[in-house]
Amino acid sequence: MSREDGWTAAWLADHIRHDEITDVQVRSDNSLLVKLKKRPTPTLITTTSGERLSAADLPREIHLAENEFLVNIKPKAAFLADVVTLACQRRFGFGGVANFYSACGANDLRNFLDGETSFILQGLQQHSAIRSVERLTNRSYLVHRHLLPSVTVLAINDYDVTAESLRAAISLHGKTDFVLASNPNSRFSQDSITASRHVGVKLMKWGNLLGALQY
Amino acid sequence: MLQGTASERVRIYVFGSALHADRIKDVDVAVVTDDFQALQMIQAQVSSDHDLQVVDLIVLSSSEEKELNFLKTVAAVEVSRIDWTS
Repeated sequence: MSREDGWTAAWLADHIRHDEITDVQVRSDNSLLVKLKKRPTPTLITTTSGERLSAADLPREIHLAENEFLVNIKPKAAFLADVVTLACQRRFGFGGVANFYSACGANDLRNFLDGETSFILQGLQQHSAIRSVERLTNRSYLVHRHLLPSVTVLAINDYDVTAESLRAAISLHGKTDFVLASNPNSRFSQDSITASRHVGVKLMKWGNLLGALQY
Repeated sequence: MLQGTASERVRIYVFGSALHADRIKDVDVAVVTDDFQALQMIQAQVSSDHDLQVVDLIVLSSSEEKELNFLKTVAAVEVSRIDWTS
């Protein structure tokens, strides 16, 4: 039986444009062989398109040892914790099309971690009040503190945080204690501030979050 | 073509790299509306159409747009204005 996302490999093959990619071949409904300038042999990637991805939803190609990256065509999707764990275990990178291009540019698909996530993880892990950090989704973090209860942080990287972007992020990634506006230039609309009070979430910029995690 | 039954105006704008770049990563689209029903119809259409799945929606109420002056800040270009009629 064909998968709902069985169109994604052919679609991506038609639309891929990147200076580092010299050739693309469709290998199956959900996988491509991509030739990168800096590599002698093609690289296998798996394709899908979903809003909220768990490991059970992924195409079977994801389990191939040669697979180096999972491209999800839909932007702003949630990759759930079991996908993050699987990616660690099987050593593949994951993300949207923009992330895939960044990984190709760096010629490192397996270990790809986007700059924003890397910054947040590093900042949280180095915080003196924090014992450890778990990734609940690609944008949500469970923060274990030394002497205080654990809390969850959901990072939103929108241009500006609106009531709808807050609602959509919580719907995709789950309830959270703090929402971090991870784009340093973004602003919170009054409607988003009102909505955050209704759902019991604290809206924070990076500096405010680091302070709030101490109490 | 979007069709609906709500009686509310919806304004749709494109902004960001999609206006300038020749490679598709994602397409930033701003939707300004106060009509939740209209919004749900747009979101459903974006979800179901393969060619629209790269669309990254930011949704603003008209008061949020006024407050943030978002469209001017990101130099958005209006692509559609829909008067939804019953």
